[in-house]
Amino acid sequence: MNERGMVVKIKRKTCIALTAEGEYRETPLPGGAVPRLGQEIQLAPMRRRPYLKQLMAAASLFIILMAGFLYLGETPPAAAYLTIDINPSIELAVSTAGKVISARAIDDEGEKILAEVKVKGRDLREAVGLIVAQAVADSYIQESGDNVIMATLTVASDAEPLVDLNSVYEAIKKPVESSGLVSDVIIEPVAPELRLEAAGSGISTGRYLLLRKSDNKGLQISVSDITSMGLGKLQKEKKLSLVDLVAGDDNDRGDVDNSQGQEAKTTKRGIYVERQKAAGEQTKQDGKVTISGKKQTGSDTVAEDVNDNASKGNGKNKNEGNGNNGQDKEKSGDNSDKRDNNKHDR
Amino acid sequence: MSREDLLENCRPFVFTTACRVSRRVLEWGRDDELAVALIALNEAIDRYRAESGVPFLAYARMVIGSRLTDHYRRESRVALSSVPLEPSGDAAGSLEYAKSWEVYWEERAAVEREEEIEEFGNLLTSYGVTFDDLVKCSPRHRDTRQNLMRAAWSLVEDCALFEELSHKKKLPLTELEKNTGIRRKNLERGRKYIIAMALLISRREDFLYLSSYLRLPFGLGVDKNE
Repeated sequence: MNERGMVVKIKRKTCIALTAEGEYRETPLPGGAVPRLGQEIQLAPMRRRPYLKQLMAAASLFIILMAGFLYLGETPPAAAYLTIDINPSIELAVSTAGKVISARAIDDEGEKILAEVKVKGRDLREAVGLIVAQAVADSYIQESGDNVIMATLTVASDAEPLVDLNSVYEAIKKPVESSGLVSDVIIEPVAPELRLEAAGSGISTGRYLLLRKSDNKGLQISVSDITSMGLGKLQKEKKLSLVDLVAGDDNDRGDVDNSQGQEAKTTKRGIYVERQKAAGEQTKQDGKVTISGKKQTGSDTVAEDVNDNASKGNGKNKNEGNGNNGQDKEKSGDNSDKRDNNKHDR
Repeated sequence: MSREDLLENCRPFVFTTACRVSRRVLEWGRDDELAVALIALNEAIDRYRAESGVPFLAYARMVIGSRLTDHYRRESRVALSSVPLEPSGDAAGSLEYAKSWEVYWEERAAVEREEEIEEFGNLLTSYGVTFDDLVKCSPRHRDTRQNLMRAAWSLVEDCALFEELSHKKKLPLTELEKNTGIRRKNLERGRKYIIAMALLISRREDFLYLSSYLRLPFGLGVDKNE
């Protein structure tokens, strides 16, 4: 290592020297005076450096790869998608473990919300709660006005919902209630195909669902209505109940199922809760209706018309459970009979 | 090797050096400059000290240049009347004089060396090679290095190939592979090193300091230790 070389180039901190062996070597400038070109200097032993460099390069590459694998391991492909429509629309991709993998804003308002809350990696319920809370904070849900929160969760046709819909409902309800507001809540399981169709037309799955349902019912709602308005406003302007609209479809199906055997199809299960401002706190507990696919009653419509009675009606439906659809029908039949009778009497 | 042989061997060197200093083409037997230069070479052999670190030919070149300048001064009329600047050869008696003379040569050699390296650097740049490149591609193993030097040497020997290099500024790899039997891959890897070495060898009479510093695997034609 006692090598010497002739300086051929001087750089800021190092110089390049040519050894008698014909090797060009870069070496730190010797202490003291800066050497002249052509001066012979002692070379610092520095053979090990390139090896060290390669080792470090390999090590860092290894670390990056490992990090990459770990990262990939933590984000499996999405198992389900949950969309929330308040006015802002947001879609959350959910892993099989019920964690949010990614969040996608479907409109500008959704982007604003997502800019405020970080939901990635959180539990789905937690994420939903955060988003709704932020929507409340940004006053998308107001004290005066028709508030509708709609959530859809993709569920493969022959599979159980990934996340319990009731827990999603709880997650939505909590932040709304804690700020003393009321809102209609619709939670609807949808087929993954529907989500793809919705994504194709560029609107959220929930709104797409509404569009489809309203078409089925022959209602005049245009795409622009659906996309531009908040759900609450839409409800007000078109004078219809979204809860009814979404749940109503199930009702029809329920009738069909009834004729073929009640328990035949239970894959579709939604939560439809409608609350009226005027009803306030009273209706809150009773307002929840769990429909088991087969059963959707007209009681929601009733609730819309007669505020306080609605609670009773709903409660009744809940208690009575299966098979009350027929009863309702009978009742309405009775009523009409009575009316007819009255007419006759006159 | 006798002194006569050495002088005889150095004739081409004396010729080119004298031509360069006088800036014209000289002819043996016609021009005084060549005789003066040859005498200066003889003087250089006497005075040369290997310990000084200056290669002999570089030293000889300096002495020849100096003596020729004296010669031109003496020739001109103005110079005739003036006192000679330095006593010739043996007359330099005093120790003091010898010392200053040494210091002078040393400084002169350092400057020449500096200029030479700069010139070599510029030459390399014109071939797209930098010293940094050479640091990166100069082989670590002595054997590989010597192989590449051998390639460079054979490239210089083969005038046609060297011509190709200086025109295209590219290494004629296939021919080199044929001539030296070194694998193309290795030649390719040491491409810049070969170019640098070939340039240095081909102009070894200009780059005296560099070429004599290198322990080239072949003699440079002239033995510097008499």
